[in-house]
Amino acid sequence: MSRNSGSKDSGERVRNKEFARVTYFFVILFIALMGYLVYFMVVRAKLVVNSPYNQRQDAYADTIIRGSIVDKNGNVLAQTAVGGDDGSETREYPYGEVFAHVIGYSDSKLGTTGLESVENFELLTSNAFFLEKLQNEFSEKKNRGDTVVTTLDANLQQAAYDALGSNKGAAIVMEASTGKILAMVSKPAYDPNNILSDWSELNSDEENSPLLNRVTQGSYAPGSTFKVVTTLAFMRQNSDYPNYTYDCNGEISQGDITIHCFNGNAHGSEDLRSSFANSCNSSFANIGLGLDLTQYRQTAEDLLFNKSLPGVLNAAKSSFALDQNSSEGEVMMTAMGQGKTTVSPYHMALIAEAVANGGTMMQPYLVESVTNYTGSQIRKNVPKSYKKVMTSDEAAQLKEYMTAVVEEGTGSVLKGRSYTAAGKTGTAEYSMSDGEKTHSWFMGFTNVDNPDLVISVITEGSDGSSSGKAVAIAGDILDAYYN
Amino acid sequence: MTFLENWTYVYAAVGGAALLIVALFAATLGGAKLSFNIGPVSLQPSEFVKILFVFFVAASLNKSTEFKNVVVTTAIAAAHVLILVLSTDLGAALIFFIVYLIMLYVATRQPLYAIAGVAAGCGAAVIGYHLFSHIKVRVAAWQDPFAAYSEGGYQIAQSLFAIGSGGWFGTGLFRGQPDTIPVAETDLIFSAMTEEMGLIFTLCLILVCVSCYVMFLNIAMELRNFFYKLVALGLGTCYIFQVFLQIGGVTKFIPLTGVTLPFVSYGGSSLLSTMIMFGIIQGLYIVREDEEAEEEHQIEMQRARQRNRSRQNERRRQSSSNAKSGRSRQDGRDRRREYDGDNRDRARQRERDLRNESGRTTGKKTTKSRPRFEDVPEQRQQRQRRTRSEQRVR
Repeated sequence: MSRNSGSKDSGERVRNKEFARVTYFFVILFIALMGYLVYFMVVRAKLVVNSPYNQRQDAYADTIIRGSIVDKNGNVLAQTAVGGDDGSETREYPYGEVFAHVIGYSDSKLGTTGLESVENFELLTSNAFFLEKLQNEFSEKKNRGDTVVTTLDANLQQAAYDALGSNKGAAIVMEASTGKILAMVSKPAYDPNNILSDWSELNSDEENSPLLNRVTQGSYAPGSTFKVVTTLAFMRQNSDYPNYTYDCNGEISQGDITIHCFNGNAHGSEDLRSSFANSCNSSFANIGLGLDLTQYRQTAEDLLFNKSLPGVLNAAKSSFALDQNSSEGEVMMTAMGQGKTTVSPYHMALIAEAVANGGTMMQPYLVESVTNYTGSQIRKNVPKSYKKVMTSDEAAQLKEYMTAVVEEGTGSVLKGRSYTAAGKTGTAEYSMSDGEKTHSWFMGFTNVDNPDLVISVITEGSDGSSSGKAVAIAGDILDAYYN
Repeated sequence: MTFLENWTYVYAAVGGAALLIVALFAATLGGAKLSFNIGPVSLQPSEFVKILFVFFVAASLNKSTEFKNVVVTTAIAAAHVLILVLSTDLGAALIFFIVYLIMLYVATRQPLYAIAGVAAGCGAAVIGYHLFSHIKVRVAAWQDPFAAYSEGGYQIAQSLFAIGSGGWFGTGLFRGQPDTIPVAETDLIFSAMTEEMGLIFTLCLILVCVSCYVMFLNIAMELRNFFYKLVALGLGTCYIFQVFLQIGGVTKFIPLTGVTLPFVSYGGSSLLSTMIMFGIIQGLYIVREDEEAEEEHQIEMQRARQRNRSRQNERRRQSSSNAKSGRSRQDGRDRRREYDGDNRDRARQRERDLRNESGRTTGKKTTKSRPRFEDVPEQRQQRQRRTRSEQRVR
């Protein structure tokens, strides 16, 4: 006989409805909380833990000897030497200035920068064979941290460093199809071996800013390299762009603004291809005047202007300032690469890589894999695509124009080498007051049929005379790679 | 214990007075006036007032759920909350508010009250945000603890570092760094635990707390006395909401408030009041068992009485053909007896008839004064058999 079903009449059950509802509410709330905790641990924990405010990482250093950073061929770029009888540890950088900015430094007082900072957790984690760890535990020895294998190529980096010479500037070389960064050099540089002793001097050197990574953080006017973006916008807005013609007589005026071609050269009758190859300012100012500005801005933002850039090192956002209310003068200036536009060498390399890779920008990365200190692989990174920024037809067309730059245009110094090259040169004015001061740019890629390397170079503050500085430096770097 | 539900205004008065004392006289401790010292002992009254508050609301709503009474109750509850807000104990204020809201909703069964309460709460939160600077600080710290690091964001930041560094299995006991976590023994105990014992351990801890809560509400649902139901609901909500505030705050799920994790954090007042809460609910559980046992006993008695009455009528009809006086004596015994089948009883009756016939004098009246020895184990067996079947049904 079931008495209990009788003891709860329907009134009771209805009365308990609210109790049940309240129970469900709180249970669901707690399930949400647990879900959030799991999400935090899986997705966000690593980012949070790497924050510079986290003192725990310093504590890891008490039990672990910081791991090494090596290039793709195993050359040591950074390591901790345990010396002396007291087991004192010093961080050594065998290549000194060459890798200063991309590897960064790690100091207990000054903090960490570059890859030393990004991979801090890995370098202070030890995946040594567990029996060895056990042994070390008992003999109270420190374990050795894991080794970070980068995608960098020490020979190429050295070549880039040498090629830049005494110029201030930056160079970056990437693999077109994978997004690996093979070299990243910024000058003037500093010796991270002496970072502590040179610190106050380095910080107060405002003229040279040696601590600045010019590749990722340098914001420069793009100069004629920006014509790539203008061309793409023109192609998207005019489907009969192959029939574009312009008669260049060395200058163009609109209202009270006059734009001159470089050195006042009159390029004569041009189509889009020759405008691009000759880097004709007048032609491009003309193109700019005919563009719908909202779509122009959209094209620039498709190419990641005004947006965060992918990659592990903090990169400055590039800026494209035109909108519907811009004056014609501003439009003409921006179309040919001046105006308020700013861009970093890193971003230019990403754009070149997108063109070389058929329109798909790959995720740039610096860390090839992580191994334990004896070399057994723990984790490997694979190439990933980041975003399709243009169609493959558009990319192929731009590739053709960039080839023309080397074949018949301003980049002809790269012709006739053991490799084929394509790209865009640029001369960006940055000061009208102090005489004509310009930066020299080059961005491009090699092996046009099946793009191999992507390169982006800038040299600061050349005078107008040696306009091909960056492209010559690029040539030297590429020669070192291929020969 | 029915006097408890009549002391409505006693609870309110004592609770309100205790809170006022804290607000006016206590030492300012870490930005919130939370406790005062009596000699060597430091007392945090808001922990105990929680219980008085629940009793007050339960008693008041048990009396009547008409609108007028609801208004009066709300006014007094609001007074409690306001005193707490003014003494800047926002965590306790929030707990009181939510407990009251839920008890009101369940007692009146009007979802409108819940919605209106939530709306009022949001409105009050917005007003409070603009009025009090420390609320602004807390919200800014919640949104981005690293940006607001030096202005209170460091608490959540260190808490997140601890949780992140612990990983799934923790760093191991004694290997974490709880000294980098501010207020690690009380308000941020969850992070310290996750760091050393791992996230899996603390997820299980959360499940334990939730299961305690579900049991509390289960007891509440099983009770019949409405006052006790409300008390169980109120205390259960009090407990679980405090757990939620603690864990949600340190994990950046919600802004951080200064509440402890019941039974886990260090703190005498918190421990004592949580023990009292659990004790009260355990007492209610026993009351429920007693209530049920009492109910069932009464129902059985009723049914037995009915059966006896029907059998009596039968036997009266039968006994008219039988002149033995012993049989009428046995009717009295039958009334006391609780039995399953009629046949067994008739057989036993015949046995007794025979024994009585074999020479006992009728003057001895043994059958009425006490049960015969053969009867007692039979009764006991039958009761055991019955409780076993009851358990199955329950």
